[in-house]
Amino acid sequence: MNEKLQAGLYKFNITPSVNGPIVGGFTVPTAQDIIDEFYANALVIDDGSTEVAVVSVDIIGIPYKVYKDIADKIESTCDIPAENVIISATHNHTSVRLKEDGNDVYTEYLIEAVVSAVYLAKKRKQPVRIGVGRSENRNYVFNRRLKKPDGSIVMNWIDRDYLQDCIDDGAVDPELIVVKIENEDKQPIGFIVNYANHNNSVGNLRRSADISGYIGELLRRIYGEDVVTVFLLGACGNTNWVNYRDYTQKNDPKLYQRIATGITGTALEIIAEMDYPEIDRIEINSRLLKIAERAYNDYDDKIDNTFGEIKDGDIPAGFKFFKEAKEKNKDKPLGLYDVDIHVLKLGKDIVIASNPCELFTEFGLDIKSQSPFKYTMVTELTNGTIGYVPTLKAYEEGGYEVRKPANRVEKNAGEKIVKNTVELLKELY
Amino acid sequence: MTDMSNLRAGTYTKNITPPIGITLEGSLGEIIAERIVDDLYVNAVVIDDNTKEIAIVSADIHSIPNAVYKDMAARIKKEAAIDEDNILIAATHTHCSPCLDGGPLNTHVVWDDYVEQFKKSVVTAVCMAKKSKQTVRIGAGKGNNPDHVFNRRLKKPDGSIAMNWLKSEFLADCIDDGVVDPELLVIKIADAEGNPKAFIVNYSLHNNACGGPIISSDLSGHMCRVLKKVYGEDVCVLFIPGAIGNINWINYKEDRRKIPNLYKLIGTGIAGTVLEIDSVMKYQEVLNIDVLHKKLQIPDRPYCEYDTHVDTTFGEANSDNHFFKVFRRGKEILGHSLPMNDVDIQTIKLGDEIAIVASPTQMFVEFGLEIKACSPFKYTLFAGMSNGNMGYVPTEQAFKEGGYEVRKLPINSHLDISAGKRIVDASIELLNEIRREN
Repeated sequence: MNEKLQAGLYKFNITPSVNGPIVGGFTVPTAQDIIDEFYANALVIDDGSTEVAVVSVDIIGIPYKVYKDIADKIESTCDIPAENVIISATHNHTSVRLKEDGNDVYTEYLIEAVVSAVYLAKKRKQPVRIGVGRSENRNYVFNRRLKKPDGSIVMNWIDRDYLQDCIDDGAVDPELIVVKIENEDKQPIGFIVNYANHNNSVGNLRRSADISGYIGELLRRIYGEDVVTVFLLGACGNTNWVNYRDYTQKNDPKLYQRIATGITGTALEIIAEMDYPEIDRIEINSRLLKIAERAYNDYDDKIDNTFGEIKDGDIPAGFKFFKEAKEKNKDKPLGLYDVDIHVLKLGKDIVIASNPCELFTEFGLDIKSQSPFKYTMVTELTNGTIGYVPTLKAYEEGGYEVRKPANRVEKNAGEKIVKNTVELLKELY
Repeated sequence: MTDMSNLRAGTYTKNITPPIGITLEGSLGEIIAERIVDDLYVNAVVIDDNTKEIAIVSADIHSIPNAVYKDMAARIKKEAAIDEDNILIAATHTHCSPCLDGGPLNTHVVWDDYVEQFKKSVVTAVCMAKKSKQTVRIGAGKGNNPDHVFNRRLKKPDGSIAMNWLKSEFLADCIDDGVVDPELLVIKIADAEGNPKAFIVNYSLHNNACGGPIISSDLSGHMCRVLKKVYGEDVCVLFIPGAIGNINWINYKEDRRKIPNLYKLIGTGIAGTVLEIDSVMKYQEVLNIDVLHKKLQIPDRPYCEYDTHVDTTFGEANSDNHFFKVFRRGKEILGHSLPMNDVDIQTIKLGDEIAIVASPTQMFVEFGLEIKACSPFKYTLFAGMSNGNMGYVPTEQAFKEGGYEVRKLPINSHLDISAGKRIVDASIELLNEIRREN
């Protein structure tokens, strides 16, 4: 056991006010309730020579400039190098949208809150042992791109009556990886939970940390109020929890709790059977890719049955969103996106590989299958947010995620991200 | 929930932790409790469908002697007006609980006042559960947890049986080709708002990961504590062991027995599976209760040479091994009489999908699997250690192979070799019959 290995954790409340916009959909309604708290969950871990911070934040996404601002402030405040900072969004869809320039009250607050969480986690560092394990939970992971008999794509969240003749043959990744951080008394002080599923099952204008928040809540109930859960969202660009065959889901206000209860159950099964590999060294590496913005195309605002059957000329809200976006932005010059890829190695077996995309599940599976590490946690929407990164096949098929601006980067972005991530993983191994 | 629910149920949990100094059950030797690690409980649910009322109880106790069960059932009938046929009382089979009888050699000191307190506690729990009845709905689900179940009868290269709790060095050349049943079944009772009131958890695993001169509800108790933390302190959790005769939690290839508080890890893992199952639980809207019994008359089997035969079942062959001494002493006590045993098989139906089949045995897992495979119900809970204690029921194959459980010893293992087949046949017959009745 590495006697120099130390870790500290802290959760900082970042719940937004109730009377503000809710993001995550095509429209931006006003929140009407808060049903649980939002947190920045911070882990600081240190092998005696390298110190890193990993934070999961209950927010829809973190713009690259906001991430940079936070990382720089962590360097100046906490003396942790900015390049050793990983900040991941849990992607709850009832949060607020951060301003890229940081120039609004909540964004400013969130930046300070994340820095504070890291600062306080660092202050709580103590000798630790790390456990790790994996299993699967297939109960609530569904590829949300269904195929009509004619091969066209429809999204699984629309009216179920329209979906019953669909084929569901898309990839999912049911793997759950859990890292346990325990103190010298063998008591858990924190967890990292990595699972590839959209964190958006709470509706009805209720602010909530959603599925991942309730996982954290249950782990606190079981292991103590101070236990911090860093939730790292896997590659779930095209994966959600919607079972289009199950009509009962629609009217279940506690669905997010049910889903989280099941995932927590799988986490407990893993915790009962963990490995405790030697964490002799912590290493971190990163690359900043520049990926070009793609031009608008005819499909971006093409009306088809992606969002359901068009009845009596009643066009779904999604198309209005895409049409307006195209009209507003089509003549703007194309830019370059900063795509930060981080790879954090904990000993010889455990690695976190991050990217700022809503990465299609197929790419996450690719990274895992090519990784030389025993436990590879792919985490998206980390250190930035650049929208959906679909597969080339998905572009051919159509559907929601391939339309600009839901997707903004060039079509081969996914392949580039996989290639660079795998290279980093192999370099670090 | 629809307004159609015809079901009412109540729950109650009563502490039955004894004082230290009491004799513990679960070892062939006499062990005295020196400290309390965690509390023991009786957990009771009473369910009625307006026509029939049943009580299901699980008690953190190693085993319930036949006479103790009968007395409790009679008292419940008198004090709670629930028919004796409609009462299921299961022992969680924790090996860190008091003995309620003298043990196989009748040498354990029985604390009569604790036995009486135990009986009163069970009766009280049922009466109190009955008083708290409210409209409920009932769901069932099942899943697998293969992480903690191991067939404890290992085979040496020569085909002889060695028990998996021996030192790992002795077992290094063993083959583990025995059957296990990783299925975990859950019955959930929820109130009108959908909040869980009780879970009945059925898993085929020996509840003896603690050990030592301690009082503890062992792995099932820890599972209960985890579920209470998740769902609230008032949730009542009944652990009902399945066909556990030859199944325990020891993986001889990766011996984890030195891990501190291993029982907590196992309890945590099982609780996790319960959570997984609960997350996809489906409820039945209308649900009729029925109960059927079949009383088998099964004689004791005659002694045979193997009962006291010294071999490598318990390690290097040594006639001074404690186990062999006990088997020899048992043979002297029991003599050659072959009494007839009343073995009661009970089947409880909860609607068209859920059934519990209970017997007072430590059945070998093969029998539990056979009953479940032949059951016409979607969810069949096999409840071992229920409504009395008739000891181990090994398979005919096991009797040929040898090992621990097949050796005759009072209370522990005495039923005729045909017992397993007869219990399986009766259970399947009852399940089919109760399925047909409406």
